[in-house]
Amino acid sequence: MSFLSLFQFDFIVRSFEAGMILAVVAPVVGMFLVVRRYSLLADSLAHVSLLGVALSLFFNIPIFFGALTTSLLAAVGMEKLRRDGYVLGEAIIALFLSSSLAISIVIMSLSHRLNANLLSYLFGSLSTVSSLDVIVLFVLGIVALFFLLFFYRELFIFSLDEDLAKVSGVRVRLLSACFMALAALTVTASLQMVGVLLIGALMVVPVLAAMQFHRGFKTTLSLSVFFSLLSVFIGFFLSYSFDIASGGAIVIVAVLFFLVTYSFNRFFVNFAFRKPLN
Amino acid sequence: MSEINHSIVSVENIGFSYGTDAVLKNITFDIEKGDYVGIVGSNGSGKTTLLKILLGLTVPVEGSVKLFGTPLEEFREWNQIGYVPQNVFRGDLNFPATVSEVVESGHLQAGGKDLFRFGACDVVMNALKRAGIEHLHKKRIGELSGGERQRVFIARALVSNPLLLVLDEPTTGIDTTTEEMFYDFLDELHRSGITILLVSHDLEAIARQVKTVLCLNRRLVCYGSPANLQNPEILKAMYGTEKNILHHEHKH
Repeated sequence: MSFLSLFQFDFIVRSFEAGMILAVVAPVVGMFLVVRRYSLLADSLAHVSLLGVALSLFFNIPIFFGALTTSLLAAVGMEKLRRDGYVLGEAIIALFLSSSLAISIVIMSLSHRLNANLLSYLFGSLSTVSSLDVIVLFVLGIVALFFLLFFYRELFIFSLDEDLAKVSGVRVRLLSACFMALAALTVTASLQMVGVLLIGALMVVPVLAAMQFHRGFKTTLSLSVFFSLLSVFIGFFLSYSFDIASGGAIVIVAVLFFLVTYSFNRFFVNFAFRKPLN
Repeated sequence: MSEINHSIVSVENIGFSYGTDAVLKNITFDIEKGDYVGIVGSNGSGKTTLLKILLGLTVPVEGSVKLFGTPLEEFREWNQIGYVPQNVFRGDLNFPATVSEVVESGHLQAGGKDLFRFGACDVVMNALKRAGIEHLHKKRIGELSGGERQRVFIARALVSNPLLLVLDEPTTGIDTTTEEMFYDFLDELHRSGITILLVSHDLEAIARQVKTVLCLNRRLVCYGSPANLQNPEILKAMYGTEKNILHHEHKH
């Protein structure tokens, strides 16, 4: 079956649309996480979302609502702990990641019927995307891009130096809270497609590949989106051509892009074009 | 903007402590328009804490601060203040930003319209020119030397045409020649009408450069002419031991 002929099926069109929207939003949010050295935040929020999914299945409430509520609460909690300054930033992420996973496992063991449903969220699947999921993602994409458009400079200074941002008149706490909420929303909305274990990679790996070009912020952001779109596109094609898990295929392609750009940077830019030392 | 007829910075009876350890006590002073003030003191004398209180980054335990006549809690005109922090990168030279982008971030009033502009605008180029680094505008910030980076952050502070420039240990980690050029540049800025507040541990440079010194040792030791730094009693009150300034060639 040719690649184009895949698009005669509605569910494939839906999953392609969802994947493309996600490919734009994920690295945009991920860029600010990476430069703030908060790369693992997305992973942590994804694990908290899994707890939300477990609770939703256990209490029979809408899954998106449950996952979003828990990840928003966790985002607020993590930011509060970070600001208080009594626990190191990376340790806060580890704390939330492992504790939410532990509670999820306990809930799973209490109700064995949840296991299969819950496990499907670990790796995700593009083929299960509904029309509602696409609409939710589209709205998320618009919100994320408008947020970036209106608060780009504030986010940039905030990422560079928090004190500098405050003295520039940026309302740092409000901006940080909004950004964390956006990160939580992005993770929750993409949970079903990419899965708990891989959403962090989609947000971070294209950014790392783009950073190997050593360019400015806007160029790096644009390159991140470019690598992410390519990864989703190629990963989507591989997923349907070889009947492999979509999340895994997409992330493997993104990692390959990183390896290529990293190698190019190391061996060509740093080695071949470097002036010899006298 | 209307002519300012009040102090640019007004500090009254500021006190700060970490638990029971008093870091600052009863600090009161005013900085007038056109002044060039150097805050000096030993490590742990409260220099950086005082600066952070003045900029609203730390809340004092007691006392009040006014910026341009407005209580700090109500102050919103941050474009009137240019701030150059110490070691802004904290060693992360991989941060993906060009010189233009860093300087542009000091011009917040223009909103978010610049997201799709990749070159440097006129305002940014003028600030870079003023700092003497317009040729670096396309460079990545991590590629620059310590002295060049300091100038970038000064250009960033200047881009909003501030009335007050605040610098925290600006010459840390830069060589002597660059340091001299840097102080000459600050002189130029001061002559152009900018009020400067500088924190430094370098007594000799401060004695040479500024119009007013603020000597600190958790309390205000003295606030006045740099000639005070020749007074052994004042130096003893600041450092607890005898200390001499070898070369004092005051420029003002």
